[in-house]
Amino acid sequence: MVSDSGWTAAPRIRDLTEIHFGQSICQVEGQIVPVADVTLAGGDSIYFEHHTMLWRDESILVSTLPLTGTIKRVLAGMPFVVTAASGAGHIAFSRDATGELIVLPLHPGMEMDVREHAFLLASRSIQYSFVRIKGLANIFFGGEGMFMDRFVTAGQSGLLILHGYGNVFQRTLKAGESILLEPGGFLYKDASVKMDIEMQKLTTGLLGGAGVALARMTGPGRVGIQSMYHHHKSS
Amino acid sequence: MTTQQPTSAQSERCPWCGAEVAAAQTSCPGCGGTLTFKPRRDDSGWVELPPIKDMARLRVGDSTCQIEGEIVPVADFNLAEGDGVYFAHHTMLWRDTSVTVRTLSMKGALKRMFSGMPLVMTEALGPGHIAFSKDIAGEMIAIPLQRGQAVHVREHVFLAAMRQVAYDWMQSGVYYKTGDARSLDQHYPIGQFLDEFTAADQHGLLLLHAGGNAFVRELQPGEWLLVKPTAFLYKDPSVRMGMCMDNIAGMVGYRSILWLQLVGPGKIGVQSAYPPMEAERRLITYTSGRVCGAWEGQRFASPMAATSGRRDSRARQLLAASAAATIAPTPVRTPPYPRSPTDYRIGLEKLIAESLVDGELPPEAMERLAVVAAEHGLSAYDLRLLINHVKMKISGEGH
Repeated sequence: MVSDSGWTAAPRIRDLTEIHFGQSICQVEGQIVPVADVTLAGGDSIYFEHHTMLWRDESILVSTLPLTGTIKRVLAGMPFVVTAASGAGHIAFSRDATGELIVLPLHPGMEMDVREHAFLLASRSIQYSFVRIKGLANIFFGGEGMFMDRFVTAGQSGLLILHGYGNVFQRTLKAGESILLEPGGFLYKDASVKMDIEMQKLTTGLLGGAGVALARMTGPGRVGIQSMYHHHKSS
Repeated sequence: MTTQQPTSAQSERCPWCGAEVAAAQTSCPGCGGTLTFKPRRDDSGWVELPPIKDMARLRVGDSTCQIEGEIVPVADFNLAEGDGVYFAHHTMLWRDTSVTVRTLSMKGALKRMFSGMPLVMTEALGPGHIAFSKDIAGEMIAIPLQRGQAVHVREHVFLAAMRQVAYDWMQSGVYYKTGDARSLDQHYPIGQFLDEFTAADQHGLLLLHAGGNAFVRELQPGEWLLVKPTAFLYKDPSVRMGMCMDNIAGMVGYRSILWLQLVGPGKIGVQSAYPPMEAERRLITYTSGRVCGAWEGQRFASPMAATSGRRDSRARQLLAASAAATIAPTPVRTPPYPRSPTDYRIGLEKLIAESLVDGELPPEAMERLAVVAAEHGLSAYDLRLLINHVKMKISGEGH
């Protein structure tokens, strides 16, 4: 469904819907805080932030994903360990708030930036890295933290699943088109979308008022937002 | 600017807000309610708000508002040239670059700042799109205000309103205090201030966001109801508010439960997801008082209640709880902590225990105790605390 302003509501995934990737299946269970229940085939693998794992079979092999620059991540408050799981067996994931699961099949050659801690799981065919958000204004007022997760598909397609708080909407910006966004509402974007922070001063005479930080997103590309945003200290 | 009305002869009225709608429409353009939804009153008189369908459009003058999403709904305004909407600045989710944003001047900013209310009310002017949402799962409540209609809203519930709706705020007058005479903390369970929205000359749209589900009911003149203070959402100006307190006797003492008393006539709204009131765990020594007292008078009649007025309601509640409980008088137990034999309070405690008749102090005994307490330099307040302490020990609930 598309709103008058061009936002497309993320498709509501019906309870117990099955999504196939590789030889494996991901079944989405529940609708308030949905669970991604993955049946991993032998040889298939996924990775995830370790604290999102809800349960797993004993047969699942768990290891860590080798990463570079982890010291920076620790200093920035990001998880030190990105964990990988290999089949065969069952493993399930969920997050800690009411919301929606966003299933993003990534085709070869795609690059996507995701708000930190918003990704639930990704198939191993997707390359994982993180980009440091540049500019003090972005870091301190943007509410995103210091890093964004970056997912890149090289030669193979893959499956990326995010969890958005509240409802999730997506809009495709044309080249040069801009919108101003509450930074806490940002969920994901194509790497081609440029993000800058703008400060807006709202004055109230003697008492000064408040400063509001807004993320200016400039196309081309897709932008995803969540309606139950993490509000940041804007002033 | 008025709400657009259909001109078709085949029109009907929204069962919720009464706006005239075309027969072919599925959602009311005034309040967004699903027209196929038939409001049903439950056995206790509450009516659940009609759900607003995803992507339902509300129309106010030349502008529209589309409600998007069902978990944490977004109000997406398409403002026409010259139309405006105001909001607390932290609720804005996104906006077009063509929308102009400015601040609204507000009286009493200093008081608002100290009470934690938004200091800045922001206004957005069209043309263009601007969207708002809050940070809790719940329902959007669209209140189409008719000319001359006003509504009082609990703070932090307001999402946005069209600029033809006038905004003001007032003291809620509902509070309680915890602690003793040396250190009293004042708490406002519904906030220190109430937002007041009035459609003075023109129709207008007011949007609220409720945590969880929202329910409303119409109170008849003089009819009253007790609701959890933090569940309160909004009310008609004709509805009066007060505070009542109840106590639950447990294994280790009493637990206070605060109630917001709402007295009709008028409409009230509540939300099903409400934050806890941590201060309830502490000793509540004062409340701002109830509006009418039939309930409290019956349940908490005691000699002290008649003389102490609204003050020290905690003491009155404890007395009343003792009076209401069917507790057989038992000997005073030895305090578990060491005391000096010369401590005058021991003697006073014994005197209180001996003076109790069926768990209550007769007026003449109370007068005698007051004299003795005064001789020892004990204030009336301290005496009441001591009486409560003794009663709790007798009932086996004290430490």
